[in-house]
Amino acid sequence: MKTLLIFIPILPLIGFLLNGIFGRSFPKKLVHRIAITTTGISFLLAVITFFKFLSLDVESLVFNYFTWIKAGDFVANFGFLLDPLSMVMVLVVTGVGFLIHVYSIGYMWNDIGYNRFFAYLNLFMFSMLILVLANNYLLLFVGWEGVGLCSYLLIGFYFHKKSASDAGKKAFIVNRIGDFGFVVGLMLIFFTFRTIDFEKVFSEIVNRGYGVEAGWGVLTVIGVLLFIGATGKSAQIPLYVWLPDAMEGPTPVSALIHAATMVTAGVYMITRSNAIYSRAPHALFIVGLIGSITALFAATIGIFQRDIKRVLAYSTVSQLGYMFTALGVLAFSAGIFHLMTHAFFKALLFLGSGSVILALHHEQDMQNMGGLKKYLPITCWTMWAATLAISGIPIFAGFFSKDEILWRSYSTPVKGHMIFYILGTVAALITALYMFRLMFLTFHGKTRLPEDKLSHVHESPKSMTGVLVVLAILSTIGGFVGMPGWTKIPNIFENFLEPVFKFMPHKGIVHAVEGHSAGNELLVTLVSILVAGIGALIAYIIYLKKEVTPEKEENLGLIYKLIFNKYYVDEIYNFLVVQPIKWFSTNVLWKIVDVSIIDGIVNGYAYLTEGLSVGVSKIQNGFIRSYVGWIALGGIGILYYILINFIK
Amino acid sequence: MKITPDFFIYLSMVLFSIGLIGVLVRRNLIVIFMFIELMLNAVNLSFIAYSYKLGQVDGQIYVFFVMVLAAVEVAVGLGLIMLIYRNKKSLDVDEINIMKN
Amino acid sequence: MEILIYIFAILSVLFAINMLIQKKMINVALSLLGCMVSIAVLFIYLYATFVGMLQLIVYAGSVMVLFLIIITLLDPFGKIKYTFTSRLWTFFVSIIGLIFGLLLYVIYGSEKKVEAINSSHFSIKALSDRLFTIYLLPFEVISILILVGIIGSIYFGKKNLTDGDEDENNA
Repeated sequence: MKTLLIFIPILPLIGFLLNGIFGRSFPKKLVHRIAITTTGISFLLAVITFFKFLSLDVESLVFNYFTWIKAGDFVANFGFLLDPLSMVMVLVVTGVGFLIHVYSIGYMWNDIGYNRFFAYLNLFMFSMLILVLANNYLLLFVGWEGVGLCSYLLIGFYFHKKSASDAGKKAFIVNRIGDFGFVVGLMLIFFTFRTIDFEKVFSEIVNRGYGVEAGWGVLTVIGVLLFIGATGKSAQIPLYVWLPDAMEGPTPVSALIHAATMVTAGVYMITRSNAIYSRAPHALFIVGLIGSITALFAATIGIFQRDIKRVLAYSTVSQLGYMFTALGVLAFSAGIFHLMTHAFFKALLFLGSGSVILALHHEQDMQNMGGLKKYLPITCWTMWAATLAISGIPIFAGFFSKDEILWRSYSTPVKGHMIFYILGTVAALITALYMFRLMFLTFHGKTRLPEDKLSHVHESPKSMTGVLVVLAILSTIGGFVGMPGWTKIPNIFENFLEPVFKFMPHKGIVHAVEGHSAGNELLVTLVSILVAGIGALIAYIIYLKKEVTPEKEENLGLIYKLIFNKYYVDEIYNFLVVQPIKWFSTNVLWKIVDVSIIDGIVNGYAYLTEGLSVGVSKIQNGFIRSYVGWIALGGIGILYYILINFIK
Repeated sequence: MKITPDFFIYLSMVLFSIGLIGVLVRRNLIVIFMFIELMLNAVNLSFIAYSYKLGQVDGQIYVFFVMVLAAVEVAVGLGLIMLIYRNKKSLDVDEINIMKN
Repeated sequence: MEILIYIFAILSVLFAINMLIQKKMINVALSLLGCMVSIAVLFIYLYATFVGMLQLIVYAGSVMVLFLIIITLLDPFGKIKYTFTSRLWTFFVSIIGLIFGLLLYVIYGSEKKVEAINSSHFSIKALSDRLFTIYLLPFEVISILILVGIIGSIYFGKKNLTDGDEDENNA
């Protein structure tokens, strides 16, 4: 089992090394065969591990491979923690990752840098698996930075485009701000508990008898700091701005990294730290509030976006907000459940949009789409499955997870849970609205595509549509593992994850839902279905009946302008943060610190050395006898030194 | 009455100093070489004197090694001097200042 | 007996000083020879019979022969120059002062007691016992050094080993 587990991340690493080092000289077929075989076997191993884990019937397994860093008290092992949570994450990452690898063959076939793309993708798989399997915070951070690096590399994949390389830089820099919080949190954890291993930290919390903190105790501070890291990686307010720009990368990257896996790292990390958060109500409140506000805020921006991928990007931000809302009401398993279903349907949406974009020869503006159902039937129907899932229409996967979150935020008596519930419900309406808008504008109604282009439109190759179909099936049935309470069917998913939360202080709160009547839960469900229906209906009336096109939306004036420009958040950040830093850098750091102090020191040394060497070089006059004299003098000096110091 | 070893140590000191002066003052390469031999001899003498003083034979073994070293040095060094003379037509060290700068 | 040794000691110093003042190379070489022979006598007096013999054979014999051959090959009777500037004088006088100070310090700082001297300590048997047991490795290493020296001097002695320019001229 130990060896089996290490091969799950190692295989993509091998793929990365092969493709990264020799990829240039490999034929294209060999490149994707290497990439797909490694991730495929990795997925198979994950499945085998999963069944083995089930058969072992243990709560968690820790495998230490070697001691990575040891300095005094500080010990960081290279070790893996296998428990239901990491198991779910590994399955999602390898499974969705594998599908997207397959999809990429078709999508990237005509792109330059084919081997580079697959090498990065494999490296990403490796880092992500390290992230989810790590058994301590530092190793998790290694994976965390690794995926950040891959994200940067892949956003800037078309590096010759300035917007792409700028977007990559933006993602990297914004993530740094979050990482700052994460690292400080990590240090605080070590400082407080003298260890960074997950299980040791959590059992230490239990052993020291930390209760629920009323005010701002150390756990609350740790929680807030770690959450700052999560806002960076998982694109929450205020650090979400990089994610929409990240759509400059190739679409499979958007699907894999910026929808299904990497951006959920923050959710994973907070769920992993549930022992800390469940004792820190203030931190939880911040998580939930930021999450629910983000869910609504990003959803509203999604309404008027014209770029098909940007709509999906804001939708991702919004759905991540949902996950954080779930965490904020202690519904950790619901958050992970939504993470999983979201991985399915959001990957599907991105891949479907990729299929559209490829068919239209890299056209992303929805103004130039419409009526594509005829030409892209498989893409259309699979995307419908995903749309219904994300909007929360019953029996589709998203319905169960989203409903679970809304019900938990309605019923769990933590601070501010009703605010979260109301924000979440409104966001659900808007989600349905923008998703149906996207579908109607893209696939239905009259086509706005010129005739000559239309004739070139064709369905994507089998390797791509096959993946879409698989994901569509998952998006449809994936939700049945987590049935809501009123159906009286056991919630398999939650029961499976149960051992992860053994360090929580008061199981009572998590199960407070059981105190509420099933009738209430049914009511919440009905409300959310109704809300989704209203959203869909509005979209139907506006975009299908009245045939409003993105261009006509501009008539809305001020509101449209405000939302289309994303509430001018980028501009505000630019004004408040970037410009002052630029001013400070130019006028203080560059002109004063750099030029006079640093350069002064450096040049001073140079002048000093020059002066000294001019003096010393006079000794080197070419006369052997003078050299001998100096040698004799030096030798005597050394002898004197020895005598004075050693002979007493 | 045996002469004390200190006498020989002073003697070796005097010889060594003369050798060093010679190296510094003389300009002919061969002569400088001879003075180096003189310095080595002086050192050998001090080795022997200390060996005598301490009643141990090791000092003589060091002298043996130094002699071998000196022989090798002379063989190689004189070969080099021949080469320099052939190329520069001079043995004056102040004229052979190719090491300047 | 002791008088003889004092004479030889003074002789060696006189020969050395003579080396400094002689103007002809051949005279310098002969003074060095005398100095070495005197020192060999002192060696023998200090129970270093074997080393004294070696001194005669290796130094006074072969090394001096080498010097003389080189001198005759070059310019045996040519006058050689001195350089005595006041700066140089102060320089080496101070150096010699330093060395003297150093040695005086060592000698006065070291133990005054002389070991009970037993000539059997210095017998050739005792010497070879040590030389071929604990000093065996340095002994072998030094033999390799001789080999390298021989090869090196043969290489330097080759006729056509000259400057690049002259090489071209010869060719």
